[in-house]
Amino acid sequence: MQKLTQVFVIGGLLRFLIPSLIPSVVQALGSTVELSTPINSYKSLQEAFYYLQQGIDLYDGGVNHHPPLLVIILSVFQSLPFKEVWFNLVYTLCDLFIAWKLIQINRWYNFYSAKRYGKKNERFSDDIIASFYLFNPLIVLTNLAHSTIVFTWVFLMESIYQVIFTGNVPRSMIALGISTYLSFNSVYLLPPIIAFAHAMTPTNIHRVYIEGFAIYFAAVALLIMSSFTCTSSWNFLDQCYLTNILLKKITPNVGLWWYIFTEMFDFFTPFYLGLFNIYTLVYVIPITIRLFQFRSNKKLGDSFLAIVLVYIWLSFTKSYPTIGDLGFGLSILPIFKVTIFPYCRYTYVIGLTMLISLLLFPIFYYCWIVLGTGNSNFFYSISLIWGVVHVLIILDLLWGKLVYDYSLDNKIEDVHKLNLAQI
Amino acid sequence: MKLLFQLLLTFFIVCGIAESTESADPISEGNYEVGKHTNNWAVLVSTSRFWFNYRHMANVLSLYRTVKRMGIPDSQIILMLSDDVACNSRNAFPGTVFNNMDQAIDLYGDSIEVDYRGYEVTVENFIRLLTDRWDDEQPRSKRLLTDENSNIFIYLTGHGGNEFLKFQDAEEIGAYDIADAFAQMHEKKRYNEIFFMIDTCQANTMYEKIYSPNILAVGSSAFDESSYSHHSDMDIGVAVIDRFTYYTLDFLEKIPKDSKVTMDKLFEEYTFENVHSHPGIRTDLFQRNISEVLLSDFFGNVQKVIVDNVESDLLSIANNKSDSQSSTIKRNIKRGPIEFGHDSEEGATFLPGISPSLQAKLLGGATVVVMLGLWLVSPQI
Repeated sequence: MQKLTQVFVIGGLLRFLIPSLIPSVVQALGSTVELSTPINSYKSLQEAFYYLQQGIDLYDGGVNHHPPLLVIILSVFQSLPFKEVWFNLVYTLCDLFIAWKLIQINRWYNFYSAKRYGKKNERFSDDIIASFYLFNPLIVLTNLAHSTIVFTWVFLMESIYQVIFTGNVPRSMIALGISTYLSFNSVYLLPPIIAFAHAMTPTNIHRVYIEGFAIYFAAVALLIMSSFTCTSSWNFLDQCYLTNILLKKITPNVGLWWYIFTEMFDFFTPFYLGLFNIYTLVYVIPITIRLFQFRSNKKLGDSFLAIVLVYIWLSFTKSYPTIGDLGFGLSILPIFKVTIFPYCRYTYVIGLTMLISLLLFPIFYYCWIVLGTGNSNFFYSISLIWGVVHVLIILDLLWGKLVYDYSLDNKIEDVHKLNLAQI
Repeated sequence: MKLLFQLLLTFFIVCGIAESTESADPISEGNYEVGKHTNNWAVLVSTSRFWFNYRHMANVLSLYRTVKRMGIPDSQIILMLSDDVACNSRNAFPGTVFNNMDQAIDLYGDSIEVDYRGYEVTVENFIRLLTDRWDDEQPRSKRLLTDENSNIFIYLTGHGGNEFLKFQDAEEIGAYDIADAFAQMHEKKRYNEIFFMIDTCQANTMYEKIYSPNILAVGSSAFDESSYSHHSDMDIGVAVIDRFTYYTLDFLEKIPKDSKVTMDKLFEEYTFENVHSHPGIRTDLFQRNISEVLLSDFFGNVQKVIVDNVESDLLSIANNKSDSQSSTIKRNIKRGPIEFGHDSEEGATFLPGISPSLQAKLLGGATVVVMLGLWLVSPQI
């Protein structure tokens, strides 16, 4: 406990003191293209606060893409004195909250896996899991940039937590609904979380599905209706969600969409937009189904892994990703220390590639925009490599899981003695 | 009465001029047909470089001088030279170009305007010039801005051969290229008539392929014949003029600006004894009879002026009209209050009497309360 407290204190102070003492850090990081996209940038949030204060429609200028309720609720802090400090506090608490939930999930997962597989529970201790999240540089930078994706993560974690610890699917769906309301791409996490709930619920499967879907859509609908009431118009739908789906703001980011749509003829744009969105969608259900814990064989499948994989997949195919998205996915991975990591083959390559692309992102952006000696191809090539990192991670985790399943299925003691290949 | 007087006056003046011209002209003028053109252009190209091609430079500069003397302004002359002769280190008379041993005329002078010099004289630039296919950055002074009423005199000189002409010792233009360029010019209505003169070896082959109408072509030598230089200057050390151009100039120097001499008189100068080769004249594409075509149709800049008969001058007409009605009527324009545009309509407030931001905050709070309530009452499955 002592170590855990230390980790929390240091992580909290890191996120609280640095922006409070050096306010320009927030501005500087919030201007980088890797950490803030038009959808979740802190600067546009501040602009939205000003609009709200002046009584201007929040979505008038096309700057703000945050949902109305987020703007309204956070504007409460805006009116307090020392508002920057309050915001730092809010973001710090969010991150500590997520770290705490991660610790609980880690404990549960390893306990559950040990029970399932009949193996020893050799999990990472709490403080290490918390450190993996709190000291993950990608997460720290995203938090210091005050990107609003942190709020999405809070509700996502809460959603998963509720399924595990209270078995309360409605609460989980409410949390997921709020997460979707804040960031559109969370809707793709609905199938994995419902499947996870299904796997965790021994009885009453039908209730899980019916209530799950119903409450999810009800929560989202309630929030949208409330937003409509607050802003007296439907503009927010276009600005918050359609911008995400239809890529209405083509700005550089670490994703794969923007470059292709920069110079596409208008004739082809609808086709490719549909294609890119479908590409995001089609992998979700197969991953969920493949990793599902069927009743027939209690040992195979891992629905929690499905959620993590789908999240990493979303980070790959999102329209406006940040490097924090992958950071978030990565910080959940230490939970799988026993079950999957021993069988992953590319950890070293992935680590190095990630390091290189993280180093080159700002360099090539600087070369392109500031110096003018580079061009967008440099930057996009690194974002392609960033995508390769995602793909390698997904492949590696899947391979590890499949090998583990195989070893369980065929009761092989030490898989490393075998030379397994995929046919 | 006034009209009759004006007509008579014009007639007498014209007669007077005609008579004076006739008497001043030593060579008989014959009949002539006034051309349809309204402006004259000249494209004079020397396609050679280096000191030993001095005579090609002198050829072109001589014709430049002639054409200027006959009236075509610099703005309507495109001069393409390699321009490496006058200031060449081998030039014993620096800054000068002569076309005769007697060094009577310095062709280089003070006031020549070279449009394309040095390595700008390329086949591409020549064809672009003729067809006017340039980027937006090409300056007007380097473009051939002709229209369908322009007569163009095109003169090429240099080293040539069977259906080709060498440009700057690096590339060639073919007879077909010139023919196609002229065809483009015809399609784009860029000329009324073209007089194409070429002084190279086997020059006649260069005009054989032309197929557009209204082109009169003259070449200095036939197929498999060379064109010769006229003489060398011992002090300069190289030949200073070619035979064909020498005799052309010899004829043209005697022609004043307003001469009525016809083209066939020029062509009579081109004999084997003079030129030491068989010059060719191609008239099949040219619609007018060359015995009725004036030299000044191509070498000069004589414009046909039609005096318009009006009752009174325009200025007085304009002034008279303006007295009857006032041009500046003061109108009283009512201007309303200044309005700013609105991007979207003002939304209806659900709770009247409260400012939108406070209303939004209240509703936001209400939503949070509702969500919390739902959270708390959610049953466990």
